[in-house]
Amino acid sequence: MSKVIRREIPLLLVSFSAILMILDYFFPVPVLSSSAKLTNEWVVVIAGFSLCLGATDLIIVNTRRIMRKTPGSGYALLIIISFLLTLLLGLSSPMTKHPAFQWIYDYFYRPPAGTLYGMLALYLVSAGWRAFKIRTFESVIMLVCAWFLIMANAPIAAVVWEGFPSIGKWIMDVPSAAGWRAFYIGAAIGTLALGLKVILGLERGALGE
Amino acid sequence: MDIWQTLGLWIAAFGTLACFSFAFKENVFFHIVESIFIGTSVGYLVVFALDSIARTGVTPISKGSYIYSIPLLLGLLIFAKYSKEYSWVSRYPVALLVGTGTGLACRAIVEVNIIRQISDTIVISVKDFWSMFNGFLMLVGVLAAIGYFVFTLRGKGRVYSGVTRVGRVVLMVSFATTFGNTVLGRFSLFIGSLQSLLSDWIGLPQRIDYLSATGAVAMLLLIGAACFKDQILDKLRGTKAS
Amino acid sequence: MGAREVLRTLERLDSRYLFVLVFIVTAFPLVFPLGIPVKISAPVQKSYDAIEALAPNSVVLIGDEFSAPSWTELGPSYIAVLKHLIRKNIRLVFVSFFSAEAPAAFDTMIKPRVDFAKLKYGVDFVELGFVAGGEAALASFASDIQRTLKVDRYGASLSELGLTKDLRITHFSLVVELDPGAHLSEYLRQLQAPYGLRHISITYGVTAPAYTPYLLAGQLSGMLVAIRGGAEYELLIKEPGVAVSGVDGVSTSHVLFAICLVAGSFLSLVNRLLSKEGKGK
Repeated sequence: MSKVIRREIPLLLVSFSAILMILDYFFPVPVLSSSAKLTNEWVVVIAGFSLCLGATDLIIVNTRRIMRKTPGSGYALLIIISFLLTLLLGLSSPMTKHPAFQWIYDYFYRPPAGTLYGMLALYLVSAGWRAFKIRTFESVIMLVCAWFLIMANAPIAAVVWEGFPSIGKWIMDVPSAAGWRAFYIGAAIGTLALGLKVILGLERGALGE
Repeated sequence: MDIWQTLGLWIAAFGTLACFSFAFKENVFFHIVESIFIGTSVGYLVVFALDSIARTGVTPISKGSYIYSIPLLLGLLIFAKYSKEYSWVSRYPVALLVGTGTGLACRAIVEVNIIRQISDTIVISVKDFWSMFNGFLMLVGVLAAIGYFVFTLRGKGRVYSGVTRVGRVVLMVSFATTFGNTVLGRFSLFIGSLQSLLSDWIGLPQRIDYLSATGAVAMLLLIGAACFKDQILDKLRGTKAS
Repeated sequence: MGAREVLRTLERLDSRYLFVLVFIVTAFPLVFPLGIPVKISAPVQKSYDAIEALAPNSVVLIGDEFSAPSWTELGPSYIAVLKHLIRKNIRLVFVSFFSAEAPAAFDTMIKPRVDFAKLKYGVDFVELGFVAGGEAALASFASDIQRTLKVDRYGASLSELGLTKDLRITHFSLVVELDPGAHLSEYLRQLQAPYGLRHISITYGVTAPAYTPYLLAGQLSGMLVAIRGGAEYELLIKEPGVAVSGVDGVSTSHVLFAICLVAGSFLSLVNRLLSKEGKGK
């Protein structure tokens, strides 16, 4: 009985909700439609809670670091303080629109957010200089295509030679698109196979087993 | 510009410079900015998640739809995963999330990622020579790349190895275009950070705000000192840097 | 120092010298604008034409998955497209399903730069905020907007706002999807496959090659990629802004990168040949 409640019923719920969504799409039956709509709306509410799981983990991990006074526990304290401050300001009236909440977003959060991602440009250049080694025919193809595409994306290249944007466009629209099409078709088949495994209860990893 | 906006610009500039300094050497200012960034990003996520719960779950109950108390309860049950004894309870809301997500993904993926893609591949335009050539090349490329992924049937012979070779080349071109466009994307963000420093803060190229420019130099010296503090202290003491 | 030593040293050059070079080369045109002409690409032109073809008072869904890290990649395109839509008297519905911080990003980065003053809230545009759930939220929204969301971002009931009172998914003439997280497939699965909605994607550079098959198959009516797409669109609507002033940096940085790519590969090849020759002796 305990095994049924702990494992079998959740697996049945997975199969049931998946089949409901699929049947609703292909068979416009009022009962199916209203059940699917209700399930979807419930999932929307539940998903909000699942987004808070990460925050819970963050607080637990960083609180442990502070309690144990591990190296870097000062930064852990800073993480928790900034999280709590943002949370308090966000929940204070008007919710999500307090001027201080927006101020922190614009001047504390946005600059590092853009810069941390933008710094990858520096490492790309470094990788282009040091890591890109021509050893095989395929690596030559990769280098040549990447080079033409980089030049096609630079407006100055079109001023120097009109061929750059044309070649870049051709590479994107023909061989590259062919490769990505193959990815999509393969990934779609893989998604269907995985979906079938989930519906049949053969894939239990998502439920923490 | 009011005092809060000016203060904000200076804080933003310091944050940007501190983040850039990591490329040269890890330092305390980078870690401070990084920690604040992590805390605030999770804070924003939680605030808007709670806002979503309030508007999609709590508001309907306040308007008389008491059935929405069920998903609210299920949502709270997700946190049971932190209990060793009752963690199995969290499987119920997760089951609903996984099942619904799987069904929604599977139901239309055939049309979007298979049928439409195949139909655009096999329909070759005969408008002119280049359209025909490109269409034929696309067809060969897609078939060869798909052939490369067929791991369950490993054939032998020149035809099969030729197909997989062509497929590999096509996939390399896909990786190359992704790499090339990643360069565009990352430099877009890099340019944005530089614009916020040079244009929004210092005022270039229209004018130069000398106070901000001085501030930039001072911040760079401060961050530089934090980066190389060991070497600086050793030099001051007259000993070799470790 | 012999030539071989020089070549080996260059191959193993400390990355920080390269970083300084990148800073100088990218910042130079931001301080001394070069005014390099930007050619309009086909996907951007198609996006512009798709919006130009909209009738006044059409309703457009903005899949506002915008966030702070995507400011320069998506922001300029987003702003330019919004200005174009507002100029054409198109009614707008803003909602996000994947980016929780999108409403904050919209308040701080988009609203100060786009003139919403002549628009009436609730009639010309509505902000529905963030709805958790990803694809499930998208599907729920598409099947019944008023049941999924009873209120907008500000707590106003959707049944009381003129724009959303009887709004159905089929009323949307176009979907403009901002895409920092590769969610176009979800939008196509839940909005285009069942309801046939036309899509324009404002996307990251890294996902543009992946979306080209959708563009070629007609599933996308247009695509704007990174700061370059933003610059092209700003030029099309004749309102140069952040992207046009920054796109010179794309030219200089990309030329530097192209040189590094070739030089680095050439150096490693030469050093490999020289070391083989040395071993042979």
